[in-house]
Amino acid sequence: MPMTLRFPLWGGVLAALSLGALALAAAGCTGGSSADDGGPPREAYRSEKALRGYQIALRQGELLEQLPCYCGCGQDPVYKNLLDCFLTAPGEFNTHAANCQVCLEEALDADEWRASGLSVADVRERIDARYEGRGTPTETPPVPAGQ
Amino acid sequence: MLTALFRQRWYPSAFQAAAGLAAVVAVYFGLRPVRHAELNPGAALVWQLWWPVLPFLGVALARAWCAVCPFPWLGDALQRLPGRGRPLAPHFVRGFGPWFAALSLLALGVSFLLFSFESDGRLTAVVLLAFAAMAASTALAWRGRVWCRFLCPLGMLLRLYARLSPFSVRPANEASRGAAVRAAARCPLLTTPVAAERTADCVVCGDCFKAGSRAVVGSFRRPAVPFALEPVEAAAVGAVVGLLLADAFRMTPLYLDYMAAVVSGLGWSYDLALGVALALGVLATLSLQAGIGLLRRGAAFWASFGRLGAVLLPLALALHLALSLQHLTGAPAAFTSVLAEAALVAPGHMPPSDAYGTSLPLKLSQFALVGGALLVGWTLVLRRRQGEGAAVTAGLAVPALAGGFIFWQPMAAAC
Repeated sequence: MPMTLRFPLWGGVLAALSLGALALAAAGCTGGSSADDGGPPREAYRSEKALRGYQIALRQGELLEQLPCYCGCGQDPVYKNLLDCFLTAPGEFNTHAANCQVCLEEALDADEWRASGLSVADVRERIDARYEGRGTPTETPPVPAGQ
Repeated sequence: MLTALFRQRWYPSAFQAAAGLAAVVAVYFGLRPVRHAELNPGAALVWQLWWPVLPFLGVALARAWCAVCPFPWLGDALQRLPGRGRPLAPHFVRGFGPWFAALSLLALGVSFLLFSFESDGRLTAVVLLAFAAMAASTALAWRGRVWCRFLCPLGMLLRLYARLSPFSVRPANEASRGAAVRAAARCPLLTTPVAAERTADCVVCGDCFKAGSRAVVGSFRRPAVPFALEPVEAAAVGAVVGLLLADAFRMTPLYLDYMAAVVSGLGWSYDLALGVALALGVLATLSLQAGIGLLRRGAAFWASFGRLGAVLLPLALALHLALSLQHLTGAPAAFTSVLAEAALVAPGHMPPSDAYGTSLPLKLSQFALVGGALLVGWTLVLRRRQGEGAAVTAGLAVPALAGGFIFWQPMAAAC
């Protein structure tokens, strides 16, 4: 059977069009991160749980600030509470929580319990009971009386 | 050396026992609660180690994994129980079984991506138990290893890769063809070493080696890349290419950009956005195949579909190997964390904040694999010369370029 190296024209045209479409899609996608517009950071879109976790961090910062994180980040003195796993400063995100199931589960549980009417102190008590022992906790001060 | 191994009495049972033990360990740890869900030893064993190694085994030793797989052992043991002789599998099972396998493969891949099996020990255990249950129940119903030959989704995957493997089981020489056929009388898959489809069907269980003395050998030689695949195999190849592209895409920052744009921009739910990305990956490849099949005037659709499937097969294997290399580079770090966690010696888990990286040797290997597959596929198109070169070249080039574009991005070591 004879062999030739004639490049199939239509194949080349279709391939070039496909490449162009891919490049356009990529260019269109890169503007999608919403960290600058008050929304969650790009890394939050790694999973649905991560997205919900960062949305909670933006909405319930005062609650998360009063809860210790049990993922093990307490080894690093930079981490002082659960909110630090999501935000390093107002408007500045920490991507650590996007990869950490314990941080995300803690935030989701805390949000759910708070929404059910529990006080901040009760939420912390439940968080301590459920997550203690997972890893070195952050040194988070106790919840002030009356909260 | 391999032939000598296959003739040993303890082959493959010793390997099956080891694999069975690993499966029991994976199920046990998968079902046991863990402190950190992303560090489940059962899920890590299955998805960080076994799954990336599987395509390498497939290309090196065809379907030898199927000999080592512990689930048929369960079926074989059940078939040795006293009772009436079991019938052959009915025609519809033999005819439509491979379609079930291809659809199961697609369902398994989609579920893996949708439900993040890699960090879910319970779902991992459920998958393993479901495989065991299917292998056992089909063994109770019919003679031979019906599950392995017709129904198993992984059997379908390895059947495809086996076609590109240099390894095969064959008669030692022309004079021993008759003896080889007689030796295969006890083949649990009811195949014979002289059948044309032998490499795809043979699970290298070693039975014909033991029965046929020197008539059967396992040998390496240049693989005969098929010019066309069966329709079901071609559909499975298209699905595998789409799934692998979607999986690779998920490991790049492009995935985050896509999700951010669609979820926050269009207001879609996360699951819908992920489902659409998956559907685009899988359906786009299959639609491309089907579209090219329809474009080919004067030729049967399935014939054209099967020819494009054969051209895409090297690409499917290359994408799988490239993605597995990506996973395997992250395996040492992942297993260090998993073992420390399992032994409770770690003070907790601190995952890296930026999981994406670019390793030049890894990228070069991935491009070499995709480029090599493109060349093999194109050579097939040129050699065939059936007037559909342009369309088939496009059908090969589009997913190959998409794969190259995705592997060009920084990628996470794990999913």
